[in-house]
Amino acid sequence: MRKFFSHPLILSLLIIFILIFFNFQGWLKTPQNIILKLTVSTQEIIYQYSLKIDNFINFLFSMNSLNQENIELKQESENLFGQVIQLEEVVRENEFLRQQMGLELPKNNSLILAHIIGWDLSNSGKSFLINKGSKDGVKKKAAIITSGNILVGQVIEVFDSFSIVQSILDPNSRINVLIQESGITGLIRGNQGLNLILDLLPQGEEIRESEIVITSGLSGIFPPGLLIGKIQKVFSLDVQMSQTAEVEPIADFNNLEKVFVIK
Amino acid sequence: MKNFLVILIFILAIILQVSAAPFLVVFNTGPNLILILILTLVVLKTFERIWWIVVLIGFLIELFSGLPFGLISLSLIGSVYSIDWLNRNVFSTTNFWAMISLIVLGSLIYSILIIILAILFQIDLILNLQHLFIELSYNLIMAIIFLYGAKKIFH
Repeated sequence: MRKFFSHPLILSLLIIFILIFFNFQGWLKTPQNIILKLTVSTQEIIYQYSLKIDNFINFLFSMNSLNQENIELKQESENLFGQVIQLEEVVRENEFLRQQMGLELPKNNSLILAHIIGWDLSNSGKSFLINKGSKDGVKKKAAIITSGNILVGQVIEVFDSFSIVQSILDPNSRINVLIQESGITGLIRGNQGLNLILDLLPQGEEIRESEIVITSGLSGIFPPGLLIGKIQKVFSLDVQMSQTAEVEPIADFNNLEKVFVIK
Repeated sequence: MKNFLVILIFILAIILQVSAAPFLVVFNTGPNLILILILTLVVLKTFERIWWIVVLIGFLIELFSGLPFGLISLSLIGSVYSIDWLNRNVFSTTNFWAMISLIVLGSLIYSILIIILAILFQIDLILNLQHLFIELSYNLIMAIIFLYGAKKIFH
């Protein structure tokens, strides 16, 4: 019996199962915090420099198309400027009407700025580490957005000064969404880390490409109206109960540096 | 002293894997520096001598992973033990290319164990044939680089 337990494989399996039990009980939080605190500064520096090098390499490869891109962006900027002025007028009208009808104004979300300090170690998931934790008011299941109200993920683990965020690209991520133009609801999930799959879309409804997908707020986890992506392709078969669509995320996950935690 | 150096290299590799490796991603697949380092170590040494390092590194990896706790450690120990067994019982010679084959085989066993455990843990993974092939190719290149480095340290 003693010989059996002294075998390295049995011994290592035993230790791993004990660690799994400890983690399940929440007894590993302190050592986890200590290790993360010890490595965070180095991680942050390496992450920042890697991001800069990556951006520089991308810039070198995209130099030829920059001029054309610049012209297109200027045109888009002019169009958007016009739309912003129109929308500001609509907001003013909306606020005035709400006050007249005695309705509450929508609450502004309180945000916590956080920096990404690293991505998942395994190639099998799509989560990242941020430098804000329970001390800063981060809670489990909090939504993570980037500038422009674009949803990037959800907090799945909180430590004192750090949190692990499951990105929307992770295959285990599930979000209740709706298509902005038509109001059709569905469920979005990560598709092998590349793009998103919009599922459970009712058969018979017309879904067009390039339509915008936003959070519906149905589950109560994510606030409604957060941007997610654009519909790329629609898959519809008569034999299936629902339609499916491929969605391209709006957030640029390759250049993510700063995010906001919604309190 | 050597053990201390090995642990230090692994900690550096973990930091690099978390912060720099995401930028080396090709077709959504990046290199797994730590797995290659561990497999290189077990090919050069034996499981009996390094099992505690594998458990320790597995524990550290779990801290930075969004996957359920234990999934990576169990896959890691399983692949390392299999490679050690194959090295002692199947491979008669341990030349450079035999070592490379063992590391690539270990990488494959690791991925298979991850898939099996993911089914048991009831989670979805980013894993398909294209992903697996790119990861194995990436790991093969890394293994060749690491083996030269490891040979310098241990011999």
